[in-house]
Amino acid sequence: MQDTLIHKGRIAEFIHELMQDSQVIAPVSVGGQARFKPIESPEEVEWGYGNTTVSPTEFILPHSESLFQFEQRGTDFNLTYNIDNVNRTILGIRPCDVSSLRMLDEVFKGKYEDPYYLSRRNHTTLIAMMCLEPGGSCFCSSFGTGPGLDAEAGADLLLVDLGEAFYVQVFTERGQTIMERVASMGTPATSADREQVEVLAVQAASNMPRTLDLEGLPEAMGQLFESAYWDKISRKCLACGACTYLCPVCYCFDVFDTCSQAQGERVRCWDACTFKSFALLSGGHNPRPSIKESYRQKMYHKFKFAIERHGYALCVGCGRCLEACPVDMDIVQVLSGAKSQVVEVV
Amino acid sequence: MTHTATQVRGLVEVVDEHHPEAERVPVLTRARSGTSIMVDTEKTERIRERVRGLLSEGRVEYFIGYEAGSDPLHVSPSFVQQTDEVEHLVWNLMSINNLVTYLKRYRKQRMGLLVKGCDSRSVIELLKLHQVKRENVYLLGVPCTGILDPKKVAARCNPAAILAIREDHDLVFIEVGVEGRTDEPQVLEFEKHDLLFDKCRSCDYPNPLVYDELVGDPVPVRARVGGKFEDVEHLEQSSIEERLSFWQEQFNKCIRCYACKNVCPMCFCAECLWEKRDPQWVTKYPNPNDTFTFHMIRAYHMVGRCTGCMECERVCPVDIPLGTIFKKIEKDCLELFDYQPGLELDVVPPLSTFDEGDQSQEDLLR
Ligand code: SF4
Ligand code: SF4
Ligand code: SF4
Ligand code: SF4
Ligand code: SF4
Repeated sequence: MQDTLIHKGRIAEFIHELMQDSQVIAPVSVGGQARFKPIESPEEVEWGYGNTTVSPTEFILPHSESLFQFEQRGTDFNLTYNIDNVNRTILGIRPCDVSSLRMLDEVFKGKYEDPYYLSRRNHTTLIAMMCLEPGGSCFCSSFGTGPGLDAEAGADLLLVDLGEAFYVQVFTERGQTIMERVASMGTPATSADREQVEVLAVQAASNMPRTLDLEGLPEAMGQLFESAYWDKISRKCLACGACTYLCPVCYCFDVFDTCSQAQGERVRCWDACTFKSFALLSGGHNPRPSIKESYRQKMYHKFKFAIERHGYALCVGCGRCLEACPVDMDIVQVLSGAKSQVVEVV
Repeated sequence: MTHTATQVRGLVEVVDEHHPEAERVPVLTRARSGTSIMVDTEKTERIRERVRGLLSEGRVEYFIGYEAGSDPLHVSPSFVQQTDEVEHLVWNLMSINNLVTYLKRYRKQRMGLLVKGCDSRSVIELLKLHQVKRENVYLLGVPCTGILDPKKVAARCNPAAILAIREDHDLVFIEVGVEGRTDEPQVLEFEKHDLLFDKCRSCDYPNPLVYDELVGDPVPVRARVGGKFEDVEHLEQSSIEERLSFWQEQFNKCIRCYACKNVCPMCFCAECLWEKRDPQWVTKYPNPNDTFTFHMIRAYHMVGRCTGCMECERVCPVDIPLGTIFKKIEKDCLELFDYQPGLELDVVPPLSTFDEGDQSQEDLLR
């Protein structure tokens, strides 16, 4: 598949073309902060953003969604399912967030298929943006989930900012179809352009400010479950939902009904294992009674159970959990610290 | 006032070729290599010495201070229980967290706590509301010369490239460069005032108002630039429709992560309405009405209680200007009741008392 250069002067036209048959989701300024939102015109796009605080994966697994409406009819119920099949294009999604969707896929189309998630996922085109300057909390290169992107990651197209123009790399058939439609807007990329992209990728990776060495981590955690280390580490945690809600790989949800008289709806919305009441059972027992247990659960789910179950950690190194944490809880430091505990014991 | 900055490097770090002469004190291993955490040596040493004393005398079970954070822009709360952990403690110009918020978790234990001027006001208000016992807390007060706002720093230089931040009187020097790149690091110079948190720029009480001992000489109040209530006054002048649309846009960003509520030292209900499961009064579904109600309930509950520590605003991941709400309340409280929370222990909060001279309901609604 031929790579293309689209001059920045023609990018508005490109976006217009995307808007013909899909809702385009791109980073815009909302109340002073960059966030992915549906745009009405290409001018709204904020190109100068880093990684947004809230991941655009919220358009695939939204904070909350109505699953179905119900209405009582005599002795029976009428159900109306809300399957979202709007065509969307997420423009400018970062490599780490693209990779997070692959991990969510495992959850929502593994043993049980979740029609709500899958419909949105299948109706969404991903046009990724390569990272040239990693943010201060990024460590995606530790997982191979950024700052560049390969064809397997699941994006349809990848844009690379070359200053005057965007280099466009095609990964999928869907991406190819888009590029055919906009063929008149670009010129074929040369091998010099390709080289420039490669240089930028190497540079970005070498500027990655943090690294996490996963080697031996699940084994170390296996020995550490009862350790006082978790008590010590978690003491500063405020049991909020900032790190979980912003994590593009966290997927825990809560389901509840809202009713008024004979009708209502069933809603699914994000939940966070870091909240105190997350594990509360009916009857009042809480198997994770304190912050130690809840924070530990978060770490074990992502870095032990997930690695054992799926072969990878539920983390793409986007750094949002650190960036948003009121008390500067640094996941890289917490996990490296866990490993060194075991080394010390041995 | 002197500020000697000392180079404190993580144990994993290589030799610092840029400051070969600087003293190296190992702290906890940090994730980001190549960076340095600068500390105020005098205060840091004093804090460590006193905490060592408090722990070995059995005065406190825990001492809560600050330790080096994930990068030069941050410190992190530090819980010290044993004397050999005392070396983790630091004090520098990033020491922002209001550690008083942890007191609600340790009501029955003897705790030691580091407090700045603003933080000490939270302690006073908690004492008035009988949430802590004075004899259970040992307060090390730090006269504070202002804390840098990481967002303001990030607006001026790439946070990923910051290697060290150092201050000299009213100037701040930020060393930038990228590990792995061969270019010489650059040193950028800023007026400290421009990088301070807004609350520090208009701080009336830099010296703790309640403490057991101070770890430095009291400092003068910083000359204020602009009014403290500027943002509130600006909003007050706009129409009710404009205000509504302003707050709607802001609250629509809210993800209901409750960081603002959980960080607040004055939000101390043992069971919070917003997280209660049995019965569940509100769901986690961030519909606009619930979110609006969430913020308004917090606002009403904070009348005469919020001491303006601005932690809620600092921690909001989606940058909602929550401080403006609480400044509005502070301003109203001051105008209507001539009361400012967190100042004097023996003045009763306005909502805990009744005075015939209070303005009538008609006056309030005018
Ligand atoms: S964001 Fe920080 S304080 Fe909040 S739950 Fe996560 S680790 Fe704890
Ligand atoms: S755990 Fe943290 S760094 Fe990893 S994907 Fe989630 S938010 Fe990003
Ligand atoms: S984590 Fe990697 S992919 Fe994500 S924003 Fe940072 S550099 Fe880009
Ligand atoms: S911290 Fe911000 S996003 Fe989180 S609940 Fe508070 S206002 Fe909403
Ligand atoms: S409401 Fe905000 S400013 Fe007021 S005490 Fe709580 S955290 Fe501090």
